[in-house]
Amino acid sequence: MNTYPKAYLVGGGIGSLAAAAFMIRDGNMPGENISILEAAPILGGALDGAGNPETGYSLRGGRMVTTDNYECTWGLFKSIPSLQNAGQSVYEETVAFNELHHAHSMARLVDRWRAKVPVESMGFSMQDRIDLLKLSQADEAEMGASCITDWLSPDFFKTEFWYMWSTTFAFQPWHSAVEFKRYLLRFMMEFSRIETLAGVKRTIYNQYDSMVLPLQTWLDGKGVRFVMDCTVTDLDRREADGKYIVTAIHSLRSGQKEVIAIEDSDLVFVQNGSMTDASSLGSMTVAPPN
Amino acid sequence: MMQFSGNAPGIGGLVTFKDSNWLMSIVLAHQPHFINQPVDIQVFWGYALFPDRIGNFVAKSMADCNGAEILQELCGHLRFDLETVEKANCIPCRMPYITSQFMPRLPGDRPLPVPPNSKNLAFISQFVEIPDDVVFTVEYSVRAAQMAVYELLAINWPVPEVTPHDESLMTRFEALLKAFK
Repeated sequence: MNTYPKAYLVGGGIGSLAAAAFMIRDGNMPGENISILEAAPILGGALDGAGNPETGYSLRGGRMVTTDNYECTWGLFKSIPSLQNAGQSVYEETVAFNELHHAHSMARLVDRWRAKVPVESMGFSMQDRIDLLKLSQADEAEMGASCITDWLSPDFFKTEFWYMWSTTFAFQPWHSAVEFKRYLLRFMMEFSRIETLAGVKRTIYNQYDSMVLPLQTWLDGKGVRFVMDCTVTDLDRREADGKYIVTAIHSLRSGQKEVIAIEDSDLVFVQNGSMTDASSLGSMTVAPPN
Repeated sequence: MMQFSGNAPGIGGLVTFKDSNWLMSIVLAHQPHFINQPVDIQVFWGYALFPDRIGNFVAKSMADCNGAEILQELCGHLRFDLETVEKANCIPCRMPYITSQFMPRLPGDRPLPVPPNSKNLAFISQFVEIPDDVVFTVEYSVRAAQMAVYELLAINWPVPEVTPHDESLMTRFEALLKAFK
């Protein structure tokens, strides 16, 4: 029995897998003290990708990555060994792959006539430039819960820039202006090369095979406990000295109610929300159920 | 598609049908895209931002379409014969909350990775507050994880900073030039 605290991670997405790895690598936590509680039969959450030639393949999108940003992600994956290339980290194999396959889109936008749209120009009017500059300099506190449409004119949403930027990142006109501004600043390097996506890096395979699987394999080797078919239903807490302390985790494990007692020194990490919540699959003959 | 786009799989990235009612895009990734994928099988994916609108080549909203109907719509935009996708298997996926993290919010709507009054509880997800970083990225979850772990385990190393590319004169200059093209 070691004297380290125990850690419980609610949800088996990339955030929990990463947290487990940071605890082991940087916090010297023994892997066997860490439990990941996941309702699904598979880890990775939104980072999925699975299938076979008979029933087909599915994945919920494909993550784009960059090596000019993503400081924490690559910091982690520099420590995770590749499953395919012995002696290389996941970071090293991904960089090597992208050196061989430079992104350079030649058909970024296609119009109603099936013609490739010239995209060297962003299509801005002077008003669009002024509005964008104003938005990129605005203070988040003042922006509040405003939408992108509160800052830009209707014509902006017909520019080549908007079609490229919004579909690259999945922005809608009614989305948060603060988040749009953060994207403009964080990915300003992509702004100058948005029409070819030259700055975008890809994982070798889909995100599950290239990121989740090597990380999960590394954690498994360190003794981390993966508890599948475990739905966390509630947390008990008490208050002491003005601090909240989680005292128990309630769960349904394979349909059975289970309570995990939590000591004050133990740690609980909760994935508070999922962007792939309520997602469903259909087939060639059936639409995905509501 | 290679003939049409001039790009080998994995090089072109996103192709967007900008006038499509669903605002459809497809991505032809480098093959194989799955570790267990045989050489005679090719896999690509696509998505639409307005799945509740009626299609241009299928008189249905994308949300009500099966895989065959979605392929029909795609072939319409590409002017491909349906025989092109005769052997294809399209698995439609509904994701009602996929951009929920982009919805307007106020400071305080999202918890910090470790709320100030928490002793042993942290939050890690796309729905926490991290200054300057952007949601809908793998980085956001990993950064939340690193912040939460370093704080609760009292690890005194710095979490890597968000690189301030926007403060680089060269990046600003290039963005400015681009904005005037």
